[in-house]
Amino acid sequence: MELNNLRILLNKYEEGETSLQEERDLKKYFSSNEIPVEFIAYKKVFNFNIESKKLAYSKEVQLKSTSKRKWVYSGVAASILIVMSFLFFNDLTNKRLEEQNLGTIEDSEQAYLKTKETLQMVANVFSEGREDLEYLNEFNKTKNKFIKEQ
Amino acid sequence: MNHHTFLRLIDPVKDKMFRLALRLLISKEAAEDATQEVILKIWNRKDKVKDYANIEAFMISVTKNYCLDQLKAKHNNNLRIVHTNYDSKEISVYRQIELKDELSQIEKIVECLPEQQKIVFQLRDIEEYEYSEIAEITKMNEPAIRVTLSRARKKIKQELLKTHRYGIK
Repeated sequence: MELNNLRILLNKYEEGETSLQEERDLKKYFSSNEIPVEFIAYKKVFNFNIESKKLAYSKEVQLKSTSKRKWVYSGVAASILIVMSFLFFNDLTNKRLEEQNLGTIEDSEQAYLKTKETLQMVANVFSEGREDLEYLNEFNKTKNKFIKEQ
Repeated sequence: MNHHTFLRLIDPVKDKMFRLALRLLISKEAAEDATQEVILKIWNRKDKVKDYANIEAFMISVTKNYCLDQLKAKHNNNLRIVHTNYDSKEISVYRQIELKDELSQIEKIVECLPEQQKIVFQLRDIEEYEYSEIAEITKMNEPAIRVTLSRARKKIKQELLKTHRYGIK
């Protein structure tokens, strides 16, 4: 393309008077040739226009679920899950209680003896624990040396 | 109209819708959401779509309006360019970086244009629509489109020359 022609065409382009075909020719010309320095800005613009058209929508088109409806469904699913799990675990704990053998003794005298034995054991454990605290009295002895009891 | 016909109808247009959305909304994520939202909108009104003579122009027009609404709602005020993909495998890495630099430079200039100029520039210089089609999309008359486009083109060149002379700020 002759430089003078090019200048005229670019002027027309800037005024918005070029046809689509002329604009396509310009794009082609600027992308394939060595360009004089005075037109370097145009080269950048046409290059930009060509490159910009290569950008594509990369996501898949979805026609069914809107995002709002999706959340409604997940809400329903979550509440069902909560109810189900509540029922399930409730059932499980009930069953566990039933299954446990508490060792109930039918004979009353034997039950009495057994209870007594158990309570005795508990008492022993308690007193054992109290013996361990015996050394606390040492504190009192020492304290009394300094502070006279009123 | 069933799924497949609709998808075939939307397929050649969806990239153009996305690019227009990206031009207006800047952020890639917002543009993707907008495109998806608009496609769904058109799908829900698919019975009326048949009545339009130029379906592509109608789709682009809906995209334009949707994006302008989004901008008005100020949802996207704090969003900026996050990511842009330009495939150019055949060029060397150095040249690629240089090219990307140039492209993002113009991208920034276009970003500063008024919305109408952005739309007209996008439709004409990138998507290569005829003036009659742009008129249908934007509801502007042709002389007004030419004036808007001319302003955009001049502004871009002017800004480019400025940065060329003084270096990139």
